[in-house]
Amino acid sequence: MISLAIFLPLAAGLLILMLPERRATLMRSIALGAALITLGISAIFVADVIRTPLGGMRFGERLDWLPPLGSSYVVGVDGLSAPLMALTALLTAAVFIYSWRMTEHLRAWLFLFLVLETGLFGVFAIQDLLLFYLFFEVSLVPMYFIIGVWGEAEARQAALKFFLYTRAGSLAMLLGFLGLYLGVNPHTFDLATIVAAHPYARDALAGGLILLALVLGFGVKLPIVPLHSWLPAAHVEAPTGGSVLLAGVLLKLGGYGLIRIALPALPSAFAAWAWPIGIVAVVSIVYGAAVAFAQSDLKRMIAFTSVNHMGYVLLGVTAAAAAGIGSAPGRIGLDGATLQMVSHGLITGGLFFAVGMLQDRAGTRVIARFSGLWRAAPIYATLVAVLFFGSLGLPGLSGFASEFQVFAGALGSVGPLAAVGLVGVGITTAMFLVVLQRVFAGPSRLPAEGALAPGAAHGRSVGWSDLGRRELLVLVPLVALVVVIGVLPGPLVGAIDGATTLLSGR
Amino acid sequence: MLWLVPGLPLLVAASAFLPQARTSVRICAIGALAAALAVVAAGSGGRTDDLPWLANLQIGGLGLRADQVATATAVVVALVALAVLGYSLGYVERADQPRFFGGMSFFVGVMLVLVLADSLLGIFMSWELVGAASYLLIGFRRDDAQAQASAVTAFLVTRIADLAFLAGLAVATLAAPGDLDALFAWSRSGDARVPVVAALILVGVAGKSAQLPFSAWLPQAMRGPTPVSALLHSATMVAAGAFLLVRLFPLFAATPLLPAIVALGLGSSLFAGLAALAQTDLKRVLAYSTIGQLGEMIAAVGLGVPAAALLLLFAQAGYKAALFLIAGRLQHDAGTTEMGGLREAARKPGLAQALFIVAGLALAGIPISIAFSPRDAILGRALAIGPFPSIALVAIAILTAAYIARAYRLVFGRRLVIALPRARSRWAMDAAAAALVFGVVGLGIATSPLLSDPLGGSLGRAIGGSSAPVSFGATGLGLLAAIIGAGIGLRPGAQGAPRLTAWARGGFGLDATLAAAALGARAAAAAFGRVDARSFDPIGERAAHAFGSACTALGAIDVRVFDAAAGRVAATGLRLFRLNDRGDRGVVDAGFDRAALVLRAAGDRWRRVQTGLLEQYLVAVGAWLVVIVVAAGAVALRTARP
Repeated sequence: MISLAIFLPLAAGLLILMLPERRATLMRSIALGAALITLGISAIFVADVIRTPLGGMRFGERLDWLPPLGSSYVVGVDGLSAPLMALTALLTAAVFIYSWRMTEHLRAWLFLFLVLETGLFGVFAIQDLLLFYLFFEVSLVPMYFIIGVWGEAEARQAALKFFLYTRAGSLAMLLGFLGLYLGVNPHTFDLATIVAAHPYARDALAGGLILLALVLGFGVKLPIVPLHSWLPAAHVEAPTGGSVLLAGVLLKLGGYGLIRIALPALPSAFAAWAWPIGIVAVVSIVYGAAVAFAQSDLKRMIAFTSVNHMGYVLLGVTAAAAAGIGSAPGRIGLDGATLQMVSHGLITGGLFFAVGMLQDRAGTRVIARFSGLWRAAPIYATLVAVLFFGSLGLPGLSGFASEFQVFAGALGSVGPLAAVGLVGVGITTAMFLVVLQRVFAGPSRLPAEGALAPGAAHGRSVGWSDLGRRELLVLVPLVALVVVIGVLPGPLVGAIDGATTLLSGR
Repeated sequence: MLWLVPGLPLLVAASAFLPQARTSVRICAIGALAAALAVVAAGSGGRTDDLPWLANLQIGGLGLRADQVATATAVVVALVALAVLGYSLGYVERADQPRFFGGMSFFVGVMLVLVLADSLLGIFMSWELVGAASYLLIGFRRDDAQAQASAVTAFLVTRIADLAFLAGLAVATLAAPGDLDALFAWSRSGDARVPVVAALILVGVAGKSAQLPFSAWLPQAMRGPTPVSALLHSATMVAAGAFLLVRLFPLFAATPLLPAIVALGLGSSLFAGLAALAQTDLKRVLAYSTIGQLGEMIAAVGLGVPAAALLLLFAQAGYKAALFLIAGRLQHDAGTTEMGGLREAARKPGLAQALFIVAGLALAGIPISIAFSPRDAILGRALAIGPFPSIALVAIAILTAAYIARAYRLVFGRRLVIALPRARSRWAMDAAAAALVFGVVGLGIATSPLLSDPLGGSLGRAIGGSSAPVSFGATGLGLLAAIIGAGIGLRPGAQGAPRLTAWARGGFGLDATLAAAALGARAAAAAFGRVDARSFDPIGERAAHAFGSACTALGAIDVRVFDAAAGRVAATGLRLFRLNDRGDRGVVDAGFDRAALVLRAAGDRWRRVQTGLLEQYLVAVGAWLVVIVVAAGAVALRTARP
């Protein structure tokens, strides 16, 4: 079943490539169908991990791949990966719905997103480091093309920047993997074996260097300050669908890798370096929020809030590293970090859709050009306001459930850092309130319609109407999930907690 | 069943989003609130199961508990809200009513959750939602830029204070997960973190109740619609702070923080009393009055008489809401809230003046209302403790009577006009204010110290703290202070130095400080943005550039070195073979020629890699991947061999 979920999108993509150009609707239907089937499969996974949180890895499959290297195709699902898989499938389907009317290089567009989905599902399912690296790269390449081909004026430059940064990151990650590979005897890329063997437990130098490689590799993806500058550039230039997947899921690869690989494989090295890494996390939190506050472009602003929000993920991981994975603060920090990834995926994915919808209408995203949107488009404004409040961590929405756990865990282990990190929450609040005030309140003053941005998903301006049915279909499920997880995070957190409890395998 | 109490108003709030059934929202809102009131009044002592909010580590618990404190408070909240909603029927434009009543239902609903919540987590969550609701309602008029700005200020200032609360909550949750009983048990354990948690929560309380140094947001929040102000100042929002102190009294009592709480409350109250005396806008007088009254409640908790604080909270909910409704009714006629401009409207027939007198007397501490016995108890307790709190309390009593008397003089003058109102919309407004005033006074008579001792009753025992017997010394002192204050306030022409007055009017510089802080924060953020754009963006650009030029250089090297070398090899070969025997010339020469061709083709291909075509980069990536896998395989094979 997992392999089906991983490779179905790829198969659908290949099928689309074989169809003649004029069968556009069929192509779209195949793509959306594949995304919805994977969504259904991952919903089964989520239901299963909620029902039996302590069931460990399930739906497992194993196939020898490169036996002499000790690398095999081992896949499985647990409370850590199932929610992220569901998030991936949901956002992919939403992108297909959102860009239903798109015609520009349609075949390639659908194919690349489907390949991306395969890569992401592979990363979340695979339990073998070499194949993890392979899928990691597979997810990188389509995004490069999505930014470069469908992006805006400076897209080539931004795509190259994205590519170079993340390639350098994955090179560091690969070095780290090779280090782990050589650290266990007999050498293997099997994650469970590596975690159980606890490599470099006594070799602080080697352990530290390998951890450094992994943190750099995953840190670029997360991203951490000062390795973040590819992110705003890529977002500003990327088409809406690209931004959604980039912020919604690709950033999570960094956090997921830290939680799944770096932390359980090198717990002692991570514990030794917890404080420096925690400082990086707090710097990302505060710096990301402050720089976001300074932006005049709505999309760039949201891009920087990702730096802030992924900083919470790193802070939660740090808490677990400092206090130990099994300790109370460690577990709650890890649970919070994981939930934060899901929550941020929903909220920021939704916000990038929302910015796209604004751009479809106005051809601009400059905050100062909008005023009184609440009057012009009340449904849009209400949904976006919910996402804003979710992003600033209002209780009752998913952001609070995760951030509260991150701070609870961090205060129990790296207290002073958590206290500084709270400043980031204050800045984010101020920023979102100011934007709400400027863009949504006030007298209605909107840029003239028709100035269509390049790469607009609809292929035509939709005018200054409120949300259409298709746009509602994209945004409402995301907002609804933000509310549901915020009001009742219990089941999902229970599933995640089951996975983090068993994470270290000891 | 208990979930119905906050649930019904919240359901109405959610339904206000629906496009259908819009006009009925106001009726639903009032009906839901009335039903909630009936449920909570009937089902005292009930308790709900915990909702498994966070299952990990049994952090659990969003449960409700309707013990005596919660039930009494919930009833007061619902009653005051009902009166305010009734008033809003006449005050709010018809087209705005669905959104308004939806928002107010949300406001009341989350406040009821706060009152009934059985865990610190539940309290905090609803606490923040109360802040968000007041943000939405203060900024109800979306075209009013100033209202928007004050809504942002209100939410932001309280939320910044809440960050401390959040930290305290996080620590307390790890130390004592579960309901309030677990929290209180932990607070008696002598854990060193208890005072820290209490202090952090106190910061949140100071923010919510607009105490020093967070007070500036409340007078600014006056830009919101008057019914919102009425509710926000009485039964929700600011009341949440004082309520929380009463609710968590066992926690605070276990710490050495009580004197600090007294200082916070009395300091804020004195400050607010002086500032209120300098205002020219009636709603701002009332705003500073609220800060002062909450200061008294907070001081009462610090003095160890939380039951008095709670009773004073109930009383001020009634008369302060009434005073706001009267102010709004006058504003409705006059179009301003400047006290000078209200005179004309104040002369129109209606009950405004009479109601203002009664509510004002209650505020000033004349023994006609429910506020009297708690005031008495607080002063009595202070007299028993020491001179400083007693002197401060007497000064506060004088100031309170003085500013409300002054406001009365400036608005109504000497003439007394009492008549039934004629317009229907004004009727609803007057009726709501009258209900509140009579509620407070009626309850006051029912519970007056002559008839019974409310603090010694079961409510007082449920809250804990010391009971203060009625002392005639405190009663006399309080009365005397009120009369002196009223005398000062009623005497015309009692003005301070103009500069001092202006300073006091701006909240003794706190308004300006807040504005400066906001500007400073923006400037700092902008500086951060510039730093990022200058220092980090170029790194990427430069890397991309360097990569590009490296590729170009490689291409040039490729052409110059490899191409040339291949040519030279081929040429050399040719020359060599020409010298060779003719017999094998055909075979060898052809071989070298082909080698040269292959090399040249390879050079061409390598050059094409640098043409910038995306697909070819992709090929390069794939090739690189293969190289790595093969290399790793080779390493593995070698190491795998024994």
